[in-house]
Amino acid sequence: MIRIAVGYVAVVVLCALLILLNPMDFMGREQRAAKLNATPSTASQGALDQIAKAVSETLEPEVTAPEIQTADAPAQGGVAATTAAILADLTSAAVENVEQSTAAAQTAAVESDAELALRKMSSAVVEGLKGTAAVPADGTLEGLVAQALAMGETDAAIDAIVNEAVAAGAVEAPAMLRTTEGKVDTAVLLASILAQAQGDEFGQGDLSEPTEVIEGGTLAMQVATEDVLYVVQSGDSLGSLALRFYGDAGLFTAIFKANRQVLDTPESLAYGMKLLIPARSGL
Amino acid sequence: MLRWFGGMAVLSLGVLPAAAQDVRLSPDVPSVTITLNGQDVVISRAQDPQAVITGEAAKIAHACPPNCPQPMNAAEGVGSVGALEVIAFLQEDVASGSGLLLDVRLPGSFAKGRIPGAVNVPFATLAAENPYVLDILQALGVAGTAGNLDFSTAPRLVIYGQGLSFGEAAQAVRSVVKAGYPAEKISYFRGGLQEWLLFGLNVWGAADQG
Repeated sequence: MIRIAVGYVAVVVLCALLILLNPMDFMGREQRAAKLNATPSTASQGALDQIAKAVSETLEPEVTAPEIQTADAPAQGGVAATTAAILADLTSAAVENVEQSTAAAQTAAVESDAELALRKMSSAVVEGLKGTAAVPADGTLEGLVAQALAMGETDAAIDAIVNEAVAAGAVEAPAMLRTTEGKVDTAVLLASILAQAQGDEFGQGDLSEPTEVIEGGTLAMQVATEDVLYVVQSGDSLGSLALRFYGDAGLFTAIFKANRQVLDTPESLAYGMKLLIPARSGL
Repeated sequence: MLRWFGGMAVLSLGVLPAAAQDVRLSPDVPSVTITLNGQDVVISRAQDPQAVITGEAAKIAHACPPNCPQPMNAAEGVGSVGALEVIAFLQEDVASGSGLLLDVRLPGSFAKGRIPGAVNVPFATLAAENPYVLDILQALGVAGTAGNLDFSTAPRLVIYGQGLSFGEAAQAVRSVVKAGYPAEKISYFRGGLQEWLLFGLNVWGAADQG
């Protein structure tokens, strides 16, 4: 009997202890809710805030990631495609194309040249797939510049990278980008890529003061609204002249063609040469 | 997926109880040798305990956009794989001619360093905007003509790019899916060259012609 009484007391004491320590478990639903709402300790409130903040911080990048990602894809492709198109313009408007001089022919050539870049890369791929799988594709100027741009390299760094690669024979640069010093005119390359990317024809302004002979120097735009005579400066390339006078480096063929009596090839451009720059309207 | 695990099992059995090599591909596999186009290709990890990633591949602060962290999956139905699955794929599918490992970076990056046995197919050439995309697909092994392509004999593809912060591989995956390539024949190696280098796996590149 005593045993049972002691056992009963022990059970009662245990229950009491449990209720005291964990009151919430033994409350009705309403009471519980009331307690939760009525007395939030400042400590737990702070903890809740922290958790909420942490959760929203964790969620935020996840929520925005797909947006960033979709925005990213075209941007990246854009740079590469633009670069390829530009370089195709520059590269393939080769000496053979010089005979085409009408504006219509120029436009047509430029359009098909954009495709040419992809065709070149595509045919390299096709060849690579036909041959041994392990053979590396050669580096191209397109790849080099697009990669450097994507990596956010400075103009000076890109100039160094391009010239180093060309000097080492790793890539080939179009003749019209050869300066009087035999270097690659990356300024023109980058300026035309920029112009294309922004989609604006820079060089739509009026001619300031038409002068008979323009001494080179600045790389500012001087749109040729009438024929001008230009004295070649150190560091000029046919591309830089076309960019300066026409706002489009791809139009270098017009300058080359107008000066065939002094220029055998685009690379033969030299300091002090007097070149006739045909008016933009006459192209 | 099952085939790859099978491949790994075959790979484990086929390897010689090798010399003292501390940094292995897996506990039982020190390195693997694959024969591609009659050429022996060894895939192994760097053994120097002090080896670290240096140079371009060590950079982490890539401007985003355009080079943003990539989600786990590139396209619906396309599985994502890691370096070990890529090795098994090289051994099983690429070696037998039923698979191709595509490096979709630009040719310049490919020339500098790539996974042994990879072929270069820049992502731009796989895009629908490329007028020659059909030629590329046919060269990959897709049969049929425009509008009537037959992918039944087309090889399995594993597609990779620079890695976790670069979108070119995911873009290429979406391009081939859009072209009609069956998703189950494509795998996305999200870690790309970065993951490969992180494991100290050997690459082919300008410095080392394999």
